[in-house]
Amino acid sequence: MRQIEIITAGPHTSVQDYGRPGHQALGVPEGGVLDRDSMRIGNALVGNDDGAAVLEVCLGGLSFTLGHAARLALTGTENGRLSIQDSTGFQLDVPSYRAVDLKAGRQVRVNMLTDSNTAVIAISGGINVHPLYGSMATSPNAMIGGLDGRLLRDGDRLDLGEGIISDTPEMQIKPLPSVLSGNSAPIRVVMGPQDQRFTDQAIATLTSHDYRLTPVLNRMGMRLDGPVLEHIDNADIPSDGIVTGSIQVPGNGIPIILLADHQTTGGYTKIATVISADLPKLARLRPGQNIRFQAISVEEAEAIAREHEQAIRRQIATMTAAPPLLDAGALYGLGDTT
Amino acid sequence: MKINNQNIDKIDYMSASDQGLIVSFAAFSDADAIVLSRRLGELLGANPPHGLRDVIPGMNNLLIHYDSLVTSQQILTNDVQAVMLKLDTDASYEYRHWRLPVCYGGEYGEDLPEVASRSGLTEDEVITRHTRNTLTVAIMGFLPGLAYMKGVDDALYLPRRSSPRQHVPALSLGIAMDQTVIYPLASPGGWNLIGRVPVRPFDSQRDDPVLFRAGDRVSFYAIDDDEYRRLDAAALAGEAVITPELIKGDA
Repeated sequence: MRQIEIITAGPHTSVQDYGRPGHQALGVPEGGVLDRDSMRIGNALVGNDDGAAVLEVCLGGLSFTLGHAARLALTGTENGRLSIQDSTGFQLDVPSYRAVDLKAGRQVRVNMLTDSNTAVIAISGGINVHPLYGSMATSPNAMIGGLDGRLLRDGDRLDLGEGIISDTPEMQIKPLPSVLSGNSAPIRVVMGPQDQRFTDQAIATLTSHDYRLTPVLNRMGMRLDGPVLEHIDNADIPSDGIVTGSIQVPGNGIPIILLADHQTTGGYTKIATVISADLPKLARLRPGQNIRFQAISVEEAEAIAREHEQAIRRQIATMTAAPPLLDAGALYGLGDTT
Repeated sequence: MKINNQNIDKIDYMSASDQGLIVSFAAFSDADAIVLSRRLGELLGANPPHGLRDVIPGMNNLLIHYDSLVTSQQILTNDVQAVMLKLDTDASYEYRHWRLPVCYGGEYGEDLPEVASRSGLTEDEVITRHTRNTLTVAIMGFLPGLAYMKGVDDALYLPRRSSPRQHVPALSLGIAMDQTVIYPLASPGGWNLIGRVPVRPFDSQRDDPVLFRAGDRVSFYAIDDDEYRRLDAAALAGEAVITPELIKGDA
């Protein structure tokens, strides 16, 4: 069967792609994978088109069985592993950012992630579910996309698209330095659109104090903990459109960064907006981590977006054949080979 | 009203990083701002500037999503300014009028008694007031297909509930302030629930999943339980139980 069967779905695993821009005027969220960079790199590793649907794994804890032979890659985490098990129980760990060709029947597991909040698993052929507005991306709160608009559950079966394992060697790519978990560079923002609704002190505070990521975090947004940001009068505005990365501050003064599944419109002031190039970084932050914001101009943000695009393309172009995995099965005659 | 050389400077431009340009009509009257925002969205949608990704009309502004890899906020601002003098809220305009059946009160509208007592009206008077006005879909948002319909009778003006419900059933009709919403899906929500509607504002199985558009007119009429169940069963079977009337008129 050209399918995968989910054994354990983990707390927050979903089908994602680039999302469905262009329908927010109807209340339909754009949605899509939280870490676009890792999706692109993963798809490149398995020979898919850029935006083929992938599995987005938040926190980890996913395992599934492959119904047919496929090439897989895990990205978005440096120390995460794809643990592969065959029918005899023999296990092999495949590092992230490295493609691996697997036979039908192999079980694949991703343990809890320790360095990133989300990771991506790309599978040759891509996940193939019913598209809505041209996208398979799951937005659980809007109950659209993926399987019945929900997160994956144990026992789910997902169809895969037509994919062939090319006869190219298994490839590897280095992760982008800008997203490495050790990279503590500030999250860059452009102030506004409603920064004029905050006190001067609030504006200064946002970019001079650390904010800590709380466990209140899902695909809609991440709540921060840190100094209160004071409004001049109140937090209410006539409802208007929102972009991913908007830093919304309700009346209590505690900022929330809105992520891919944010509602299309909202009625709270937005003090600043994270630049597009830093959105994948947000996807990797873990509760308890501190972040610092740095304000830049729109023109700088646009220049960074273009540089960032070039950097991903360069990174993908560095894809090389991976050294062979240590194949204990072949060495010791146990199990069969991958 | 029209945008002309006298009032064009009242339009304000704001940024949502390298992702969004916001064209604000906040300096105009509320009624004009909402129509200007929507019309600008329609104008740009019909003739998209290079790099435009999406437009989202708000209550007094238009958010324009753009792709900073192929355009810039400066170029986009020029593109938008080039069409600004075409903005005219008085231009004759075609709109759809939906007459929607509502089963008011009872288990479908559990806040009706409270709405009545807080408004100093009987439940029947609330229904009369709610069915009397024709509302306009101001903007869409919150959930796929959720329309914010403005123009509810002043006598029914109430804030949202102080503690939102964790679970509002799909198709519930809620009122708050001068507005009405119909929840397209089960969701948390803080509106005062006074009835339920046997039409689906969002249905991913339909060719056009979203029923309402900003600018649509909506009025309501009361139906009983039996009629609700009949229409609901028909809607569930995929029938279009309500079709809007197309009206040519002024905005």
